[in-house]
Amino acid sequence: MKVSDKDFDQLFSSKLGDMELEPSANVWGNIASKLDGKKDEEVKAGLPFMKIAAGIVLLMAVGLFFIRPEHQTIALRPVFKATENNQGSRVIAPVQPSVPYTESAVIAETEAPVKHQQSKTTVEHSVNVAAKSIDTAQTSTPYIAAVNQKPDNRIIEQVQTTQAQKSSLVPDNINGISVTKSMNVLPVKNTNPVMASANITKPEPAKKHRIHSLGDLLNVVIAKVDKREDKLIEFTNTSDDDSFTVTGLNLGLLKAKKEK
Amino acid sequence: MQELLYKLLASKMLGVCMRYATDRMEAEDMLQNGFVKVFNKLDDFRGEGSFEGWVRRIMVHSSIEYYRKNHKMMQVVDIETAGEEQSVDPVAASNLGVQDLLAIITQLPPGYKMVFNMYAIEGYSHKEIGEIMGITEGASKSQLSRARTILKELIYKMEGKKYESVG
Repeated sequence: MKVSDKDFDQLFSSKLGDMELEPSANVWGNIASKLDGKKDEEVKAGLPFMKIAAGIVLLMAVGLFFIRPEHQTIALRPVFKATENNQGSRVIAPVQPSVPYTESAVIAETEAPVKHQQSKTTVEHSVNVAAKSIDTAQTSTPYIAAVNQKPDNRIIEQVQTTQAQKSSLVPDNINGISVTKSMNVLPVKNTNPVMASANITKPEPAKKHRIHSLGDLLNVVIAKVDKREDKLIEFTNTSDDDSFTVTGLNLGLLKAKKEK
Repeated sequence: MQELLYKLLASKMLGVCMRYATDRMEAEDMLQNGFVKVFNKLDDFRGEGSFEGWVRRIMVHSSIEYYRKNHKMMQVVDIETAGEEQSVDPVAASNLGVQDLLAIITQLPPGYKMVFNMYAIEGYSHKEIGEIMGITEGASKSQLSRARTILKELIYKMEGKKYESVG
């Protein structure tokens, strides 16, 4: 006797369609652990990005801390007061706290010859300061001085008090300098204050290296960011091939450099 | 909440998985994977149809996926090797119990078992089966036909054994 396909299918669906079987006790435990594991994976998946972000922030913080500009502003902040004398020249005397004078802020003023006696003290002071600057210049110690724009090489034998129209900022540690009015000083004309250094040395032209390897490229990039002499990290080519090694490390407190 | 849902549907869904599996251990693996999917896709249920039907479809997909992963080739038996179609006594077949029918269906080659389960018991169309299984509608129809032939032969053999044991 033939059974139709529909009845045949119905035989199975009626008896197996609603079949129920009790699963083992450990099945739920496995499902729960998989669900928990997935949550952990999601959390872990987010961690690398957080680690990378934290690393970048840390590097930037370290970089900002150690890679500071080498030439910082000098703490000395003299108070300038310029007065015009009747000859049209201007004299500026800076504050010099450690200079052994009674006045904390010295203002040198050039007076007309008529008022010479009254301004004697202050003029002498300015001469002293100017003389010190010359003496300092001879010892090649850096200083900041007011110089004229057109330096005159003539040396005047006797400096008149009324001609003491030069002032300078002298380093604190210069002591025991006896200065008299007869000291030779450079005459100053049209003294517009400018900053100068006694021992100006021309910076050596930067060595130009061709980029042969990744190390050279990194050196260039680091040099753009780190202006210090000893860079944060330096690479040197080891051989003719593209390999390179770290030859210098400067973490501020911790420095290491391989001698070439 | 998840455990409660599991307890409500686990036994029914294990019944579904058993029809696609070769043994209980395999069925429980399918059930496990299916429930993990259910809980991960709970937000996708839009209330269209019954929740149980939605879970059941996930179990079917999970079972087929399991077979794809663990049985790279869904073995099919050539129609010629299936032998001549046997006639089945409807009264004798109706006397077969759930365990007998389950034992018969378990003996089907995986490909036929999938198609027969999905078409005859789950009520999928050949088009849906083709999409899920990655086969054509024609292949689904022919596999269903071969599955029925094998099942009838298996029932015939089972009935014969019963008669032999009685006789």
